[in-house]
Amino acid sequence: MRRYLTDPAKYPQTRFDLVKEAVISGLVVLVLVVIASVALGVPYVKPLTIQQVATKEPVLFLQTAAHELDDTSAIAQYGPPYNNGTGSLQAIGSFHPQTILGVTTPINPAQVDVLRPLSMAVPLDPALKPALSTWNAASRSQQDTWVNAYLQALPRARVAGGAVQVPRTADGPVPAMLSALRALGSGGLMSGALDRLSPVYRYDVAPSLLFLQGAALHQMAQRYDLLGGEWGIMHDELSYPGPWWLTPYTALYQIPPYSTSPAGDLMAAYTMLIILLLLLAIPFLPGVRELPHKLRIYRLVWRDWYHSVERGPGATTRGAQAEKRRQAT
Amino acid sequence: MSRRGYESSNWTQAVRRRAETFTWDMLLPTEQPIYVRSVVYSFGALTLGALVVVVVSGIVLAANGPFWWQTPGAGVFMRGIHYWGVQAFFFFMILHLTAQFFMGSWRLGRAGTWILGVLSFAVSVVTAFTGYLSRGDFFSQWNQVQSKDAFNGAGIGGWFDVLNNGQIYGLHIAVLPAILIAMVSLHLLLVRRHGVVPPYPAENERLERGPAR
Repeated sequence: MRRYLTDPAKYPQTRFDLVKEAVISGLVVLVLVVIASVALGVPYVKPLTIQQVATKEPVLFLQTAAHELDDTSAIAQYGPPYNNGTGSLQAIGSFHPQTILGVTTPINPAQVDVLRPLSMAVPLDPALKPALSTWNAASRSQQDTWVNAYLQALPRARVAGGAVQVPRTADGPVPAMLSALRALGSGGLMSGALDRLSPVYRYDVAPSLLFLQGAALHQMAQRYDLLGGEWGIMHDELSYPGPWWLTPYTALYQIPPYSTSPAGDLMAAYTMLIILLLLLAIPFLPGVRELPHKLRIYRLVWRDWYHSVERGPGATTRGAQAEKRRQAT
Repeated sequence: MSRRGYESSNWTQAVRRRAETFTWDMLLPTEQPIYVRSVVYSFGALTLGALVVVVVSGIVLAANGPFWWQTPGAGVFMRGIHYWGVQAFFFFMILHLTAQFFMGSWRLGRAGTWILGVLSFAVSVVTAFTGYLSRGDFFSQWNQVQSKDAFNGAGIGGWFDVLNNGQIYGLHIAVLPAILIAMVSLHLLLVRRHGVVPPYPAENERLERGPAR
């Protein structure tokens, strides 16, 4: 039996210029990319700001702020890495990796989103000080009562000329506080007051994004068909392709149990990890590693080679002649 | 020489010996096996070409900053080059990966090349995703708030904080590209070292040449 050939250098060779191929490939891509960039442009949708929400959706702004103040927002209940809540804690049985690293970005929404910005606004609006003093002096149950009363009255609010008239109810200092907060928001100062996790560098935008993350961002996302059930983050952006290479991942979210389980994210992430490990292990998986040989699609790639080799004795093509020489050595 | 020094010498000499096997003739060959004749062999080179376009346009974007790439004119045009370069990169990379699967390119001692290719693909996905988060528009915001639940649920959100623009941007322009470029470089070295995988044996060869894998 002849030794099975493993060394490509033992096959007949043809002239080849790797530098030329690399340069041509680079130029082909560059030309395609420049044409696409000039002809098609690039996707961009202006970011949503707290100022926009405070101005155009004042009731939504006040509702969001009231829930933050009362610790009843999604983030207040979220869990790691923001706090020790369990509202968004994902688990499969007793497996909940979300808790492993613990609370690494501690965020107290009432303090970060409402009380601290208001205390910063006191020099601009001294009338705010008594309202804040009343709030801080009240018991927790009294504060809850005020916020609940305010939230019940809010749907009946009248919006006219940029002002929001909330029906009077037993809501204590809450209307004065949240009205001042909205003034801060509509003036464009609020995100600056929120994103202060670091005293100098304002790279961490968790507080402002978490303030927007509920109804405000969802309303806008719905306008662009970006919700999870609509293939979420890999959805085309406007008329441009999105990150379509995430298709296998986002496809999971379209089917149960990923689409129905509260731990859908956790399940999808670890499913993708398993798929990645399987892809890595293909060379070692009996049955899978032989699949290409059985599928015979490789014959399309090397059709010239097989054509020349399989024509048998008397073949006159260059490949067949070269193969004969190779077999003779 | 101390025992410690001797071991160190062996280690460094092993690296030197390994490095010496990479000759210019191996890295930039003037010949290829005759079976390398298909458009499929262009996919890898086109992927690499797209990576170069992405890296160079990314360097220009990073040098000028977020305000520049969000301002109509040269900045938006360069962001377009970067964006379409990424689209081309994934398009050719997935064609390359698929073709290599059907060619059984892990055969005959090339498992490491396959593994590095798949890992490069995985790192590319994360790198591209951090790019989407760094664009600074509504899509970035939406992907940030949506994906935070995925990363938090998976247990890495406590470190990989998608709401921290500083960390994500740093990962996107420095850490992840460095890892990706190192992996792709090693992948290319292995391709050159082992050569292009030979075809499966032909019909009239199979019996006398042994197993195909």
